[in-house]
Amino acid sequence: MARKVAVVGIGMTENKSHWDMSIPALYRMGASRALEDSGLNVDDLDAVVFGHSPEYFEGINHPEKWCGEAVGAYNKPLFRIHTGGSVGASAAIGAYYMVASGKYDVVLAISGNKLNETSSAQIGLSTVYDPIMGRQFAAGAPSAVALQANRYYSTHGYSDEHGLMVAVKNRLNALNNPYAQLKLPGYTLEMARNTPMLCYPLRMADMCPTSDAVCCMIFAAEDRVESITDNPGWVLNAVSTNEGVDYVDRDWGKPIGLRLAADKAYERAGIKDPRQELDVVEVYDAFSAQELIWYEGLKLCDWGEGGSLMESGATEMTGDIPVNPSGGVLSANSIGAAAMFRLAEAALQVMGKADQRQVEGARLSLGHGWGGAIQFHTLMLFSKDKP
Amino acid sequence: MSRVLDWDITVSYQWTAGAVYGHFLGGLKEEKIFGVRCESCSTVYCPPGDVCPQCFTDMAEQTWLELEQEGEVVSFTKVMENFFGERPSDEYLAGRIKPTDYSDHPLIWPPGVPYAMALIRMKGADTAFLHLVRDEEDLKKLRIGAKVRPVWKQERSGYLLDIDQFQIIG
Amino acid sequence: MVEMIKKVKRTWYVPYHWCYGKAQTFFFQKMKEEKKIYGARCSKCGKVVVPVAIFCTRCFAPTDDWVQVEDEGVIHSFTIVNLPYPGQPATPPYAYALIKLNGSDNLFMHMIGGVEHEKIEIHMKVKAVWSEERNGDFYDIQYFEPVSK
Repeated sequence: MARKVAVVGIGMTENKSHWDMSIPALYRMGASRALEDSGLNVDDLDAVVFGHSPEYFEGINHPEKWCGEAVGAYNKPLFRIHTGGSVGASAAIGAYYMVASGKYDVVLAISGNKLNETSSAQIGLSTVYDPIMGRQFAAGAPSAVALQANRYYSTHGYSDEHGLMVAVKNRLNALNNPYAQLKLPGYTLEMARNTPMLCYPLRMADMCPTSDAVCCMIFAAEDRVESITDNPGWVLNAVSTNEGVDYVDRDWGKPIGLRLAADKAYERAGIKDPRQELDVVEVYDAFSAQELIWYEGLKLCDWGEGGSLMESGATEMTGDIPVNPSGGVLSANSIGAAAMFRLAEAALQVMGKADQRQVEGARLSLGHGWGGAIQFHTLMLFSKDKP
Repeated sequence: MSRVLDWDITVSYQWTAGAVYGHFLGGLKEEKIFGVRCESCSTVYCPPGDVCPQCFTDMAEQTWLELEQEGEVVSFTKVMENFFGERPSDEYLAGRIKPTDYSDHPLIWPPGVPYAMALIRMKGADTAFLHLVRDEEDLKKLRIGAKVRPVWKQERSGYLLDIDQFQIIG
Repeated sequence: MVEMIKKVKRTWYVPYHWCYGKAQTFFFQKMKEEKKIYGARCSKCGKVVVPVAIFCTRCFAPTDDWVQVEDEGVIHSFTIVNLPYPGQPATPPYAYALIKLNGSDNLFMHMIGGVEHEKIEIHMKVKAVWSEERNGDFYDIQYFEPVSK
């Protein structure tokens, strides 16, 4: 039987171009902020889970070799996890499982990237495709997601206008987040519409920025939590899945893998109606259209209703199911840390520590990570109340 | 018979050195070798890193020391064969590029085997520094405990290979 | 005080040598020599995946039955790329799509050509335009163009 686990400390670096910090120094900043937040020091850690996305972004093939000590892993177990853009969440899930298993009491999960160390982050994205079948069209991320968005809009009669609504919502939410990169005060639909169409149907307004950042979460076992903090974020459960890329009968606009993962997560947590029962959700919206698609996968609405949910205003800060109070990945994307930021933001909400972006009275939240050539999904549910 | 795809991937990087590496490399440019002492445990690191592994301290805020230009060989290995991926570029061999031109050239490496990779503990430091011993006579004399000193290149740009190699002095 | 070095710059030049394996060797050979597209039928679900593979990704079952599929199909989704970056197959703007070839059950990625970008639609029927000179790679097909009514 799994032990109960809670988040006892969170550390974040700003998402921006950290032109004055080396990769290990940036990792250390994330780790030391989390340690400070929890009141723990490195000796209190039993193990470290280190996340980092495709090596081609920084050309360091074994970043945990260089950065192990920078995240407190001196004479301690260190595990590297890599699941593309969802790595931040997978690293958190890895740490959660280690504590829940009963083998470790306090585990630090950390994930990040410095996307500005390369001349072109797109080369990193193009080389995630295999060289024999996948690289001919240098798909990268924007065009792969564009295929997803186009299919989705077409199937359900929506248009890029719906994606732009998401973009405006999240860009304005980001104004409340000191760690977000893109802050556009006074942003409107009109301004979003006037940005160039980069990969039909995605405009520049629909796309995320390129950031350097690290996020860190410390997980502790039930019997240690009380001595560390009186305000933990309890983990209800975590689920991850690899939907598969090129399987038979795939509909690129319908994330069946995410739906299966969400069903499992809700069932284990006893959640029957996520739209009603969840107080706040942080989803991985690297591109605006995806947020609409994830609404459906996460059962915040039925299949085909994502665009309508956005239109209704329900996912705004003032709505009944706010999504991405932090501004989401659309406002800050280091790839390596982005998914952990979603989980960390969701945890901060139930801990009541989300400052200006706090949803009043949040007690149950969901953090979502996404990655790969659109197939990895990770979910973690947090609660203010001990399960 | 399976077909094979040969493809070269070329990517350019510009790694941020940051406060610690930036200072150390700046020292190399001026023919200085710096160590950093962690004030929590008194360990002197050369080469320095961003974090003291034992204490988790931020090394940018610790004490910088200019070390004497002498070291001792802690361990070494002699490389007798070039291995795949490591070759001197034709440009370098033809003398068409200068040794300090590191920024845009593929796989520049000191030419010719044999050479030795040595772990060298600089005087005053507690950790060791990986570098090269290339001189033919020195390769014959090379042993653990040998005293060495750096041989600096004429033109330096703030890079580890501003030191051309280490030479045995005792 | 010494000068602070800000950046360490380097260009990595890494040569690779990837094995296709027998399934994909066969696939490209058929494209090059016979202008035919082949897929593989899953022994468990009976569906056909393109290109030829040695297992079905959904069932994890072997796919030893290699069958020809048509070089004609229907657009599942497409995009028009305006963003320039290294390694692109053409200068932007260019269109590429996920195509469900007749006789197959998964999606095939390729370029769309011979039509104005504004006229490309999901569900459009398209057919391969083969290259005269073929080397056994994806460019053995130049692009897919709409089937004229």
